[in-house]
Amino acid sequence: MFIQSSVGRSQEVDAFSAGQEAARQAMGGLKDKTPADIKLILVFSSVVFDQNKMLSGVRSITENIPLLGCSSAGEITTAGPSKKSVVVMAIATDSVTFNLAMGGNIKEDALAAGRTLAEGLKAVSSDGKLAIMLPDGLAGNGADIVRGLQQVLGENFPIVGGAAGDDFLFKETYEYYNDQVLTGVVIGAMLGGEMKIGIGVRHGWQPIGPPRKVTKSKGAVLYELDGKPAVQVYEEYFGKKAEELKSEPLARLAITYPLGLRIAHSDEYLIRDPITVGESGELTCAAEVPEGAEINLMMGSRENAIDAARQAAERCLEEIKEQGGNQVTTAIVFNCIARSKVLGRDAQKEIDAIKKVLGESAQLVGFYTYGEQAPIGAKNCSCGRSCKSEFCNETVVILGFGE
Amino acid sequence: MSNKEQTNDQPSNFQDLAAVNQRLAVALAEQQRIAQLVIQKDLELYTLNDTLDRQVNQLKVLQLMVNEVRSLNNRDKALRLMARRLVQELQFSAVVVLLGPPPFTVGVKYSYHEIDTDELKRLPVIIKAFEKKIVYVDRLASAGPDEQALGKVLHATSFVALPLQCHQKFYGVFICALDDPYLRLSEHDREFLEIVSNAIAGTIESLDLEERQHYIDSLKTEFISIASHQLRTPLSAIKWILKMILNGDLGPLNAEQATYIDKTYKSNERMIELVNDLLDSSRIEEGRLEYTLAEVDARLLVKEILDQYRVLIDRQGVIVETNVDSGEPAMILADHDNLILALTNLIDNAIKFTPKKQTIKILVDHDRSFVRITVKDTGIGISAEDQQQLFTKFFRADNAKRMQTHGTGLGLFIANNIIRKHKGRIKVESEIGVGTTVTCWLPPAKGS
Repeated sequence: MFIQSSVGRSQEVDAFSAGQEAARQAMGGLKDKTPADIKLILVFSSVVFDQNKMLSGVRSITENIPLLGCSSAGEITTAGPSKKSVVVMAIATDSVTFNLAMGGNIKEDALAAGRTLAEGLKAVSSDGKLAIMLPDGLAGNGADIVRGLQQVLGENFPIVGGAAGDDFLFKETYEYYNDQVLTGVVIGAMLGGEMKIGIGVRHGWQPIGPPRKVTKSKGAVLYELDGKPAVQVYEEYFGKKAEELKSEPLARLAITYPLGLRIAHSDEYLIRDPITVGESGELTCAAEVPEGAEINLMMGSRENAIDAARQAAERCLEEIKEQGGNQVTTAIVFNCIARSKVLGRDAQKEIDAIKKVLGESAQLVGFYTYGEQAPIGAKNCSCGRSCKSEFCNETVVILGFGE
Repeated sequence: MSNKEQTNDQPSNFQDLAAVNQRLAVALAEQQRIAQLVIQKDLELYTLNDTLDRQVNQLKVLQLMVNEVRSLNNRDKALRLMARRLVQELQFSAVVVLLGPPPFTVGVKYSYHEIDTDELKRLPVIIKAFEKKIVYVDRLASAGPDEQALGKVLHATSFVALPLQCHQKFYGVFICALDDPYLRLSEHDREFLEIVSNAIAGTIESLDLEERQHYIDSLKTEFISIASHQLRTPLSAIKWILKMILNGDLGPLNAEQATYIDKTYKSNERMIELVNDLLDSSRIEEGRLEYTLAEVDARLLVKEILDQYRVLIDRQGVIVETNVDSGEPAMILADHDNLILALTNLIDNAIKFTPKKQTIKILVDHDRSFVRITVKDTGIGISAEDQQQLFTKFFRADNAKRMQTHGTGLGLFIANNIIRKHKGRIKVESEIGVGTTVTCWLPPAKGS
């Protein structure tokens, strides 16, 4: 029973070459494996590349092996973080099965999109144990998509993933499904068979200032806090006028100072990134902000971010050991773009901290996302861990596979 | 319990509550104020960190660029490498180097977008940039029509065009662009890019010089080659004619005539030697010396040379001790003629520079897995200083020049080259007035 992976990365300026080179490196690392054992290809890419050309480049090497991926706001491999690159991971295993499915258009109906994906995943896999989802990063209420999946798969079904990014431009993000480049949808994979997996989730952001009450909101749109237009909270803290805040996507300025929702029965905060400001000062966030909830402004720091990453990696390793595993061989990292912004050059340190915990034999792939999905919800599951998956921001989510 | 007492409690409760509320309100306002301060400071810190990160990255890239280029001797490769670093490691979207004067040629073009370099070359702003009028656009929207045209070709919103200048010479134009809708080139970026353009100009200049040097060298070698070939024929002709005269084929010679003709013959021989040496050395430089490898016994090679030199050895009056007539074979993989040439030069030196009645030892044996040939003389020796330059072309030590006025200074240069080509090593140890030992190690033929 094994699961081994190999990672490739390329920064060529030509899109096709970049995809091809990264794929070649990844497949090259698995030369001694039976080709039939290579079960999944993961691709994360900057949007500086023509997406179709890049994907063709990858497929020119990986051919018909099932492929899942999306555009990013920065890429991650075992070597560390990179920008303007294509990263590819090839996973070989004789015990884990990966079955792909696609959900619907998120903008039209995020809940339905999640449900369609879940139904698709259920249909292709009889013994699904965990779902990986990659939703479009700018199309709609991320939490609704997760809810849609849970309506079909069950409230405590583990769901892990990251929302596609686009190099911090907040214009358009893409999803890769086998040989197709899509946008505005959610795609995913159902994992079945025998596996030892660990999930670590942490953010490290701290609340600052007094809490405020959500007096008016609808889904992911936050209209009023304490009876005043929501954008005022940022105006007060940033000292900028609303007009200025409207000229760039708010996300670019406010992503490192997101809003935090207290999670019931926990001292953890569920974080919500504001993405844009509307005409009347309403904030559209990456996922919903329930009316009546209490919200705090949250602040991050380099130290806390790196600490959080280490803790997440430790938790991931712990879980694998609990299942009888000795080492982590493969890890997928869904890392919020806000963390990359806060860390700056120290982003390498965060990845190093994760690697140090997971060990020498772990191959890493991942990307900087516009949102993450992972189990951090209420501790009401019999296994004792927090099973309910939520859509989060500012978190680092590490999905590890062990042997 | 009277009503009065009850009524008296209520106002004080209300007052307490009101006071507590008041204090809470003040505390909250204070907390809010502090939070605002903290966030503003944090924002400042973040902006500073961001700028610092940018500059550290720029410094790192500059260092990388300069180090990597140092070991390159091809201008196009060097330019490409520098452009790659700038685009991949920093936030730039395009780098173009045009080599001038106008109409330019493209030194390198590295970009995520298609750039029409023909159009780029013709833009008036670019021509002006070459004439030292720097273009710096931090925001395309507020730029003039000429700059707008450049922005369109570069698919960029922020860019610079700088002249490439080094030591009063202008080499072309360096263009660097940014296409992010939210970022723009800052004053810092501009300063950094000015440093980069200086580095690029400097690299172009030094590579140009190197190239010119190589070209001159190759011209020299070609000249020597041609001249030597041309000289060979007449020299050969003279040799045979003189031989005929000396043999008496053209009539008897008297003693005086014989002496002078003999001197002439010897001078001619020396010229032929020089021409052959020049030809060999030029062939070596051009890599044209042909090698056909075969298994040979090193001892037999030495024997061949000693047989040839029998007459000279007797004339010089030196004693040669050697072990090549006995012992085990020393098989090596070698080109017979070239290795003979190399060893001849070494043995020739030993014989020439050793005084009468002194001994020269020539040994062939095994040292670890190698075949070792040692030529040890008790001649004039070589000073430590001169030992440094021994293998340089045309080098002759002063004491050698004093002892033998003729000599090309090519013997050791050729020998060294040939031994190295055979994957061997050569070493010279010497002391003035005591003698010189030249040792060669050659890899053994396989299976021996």
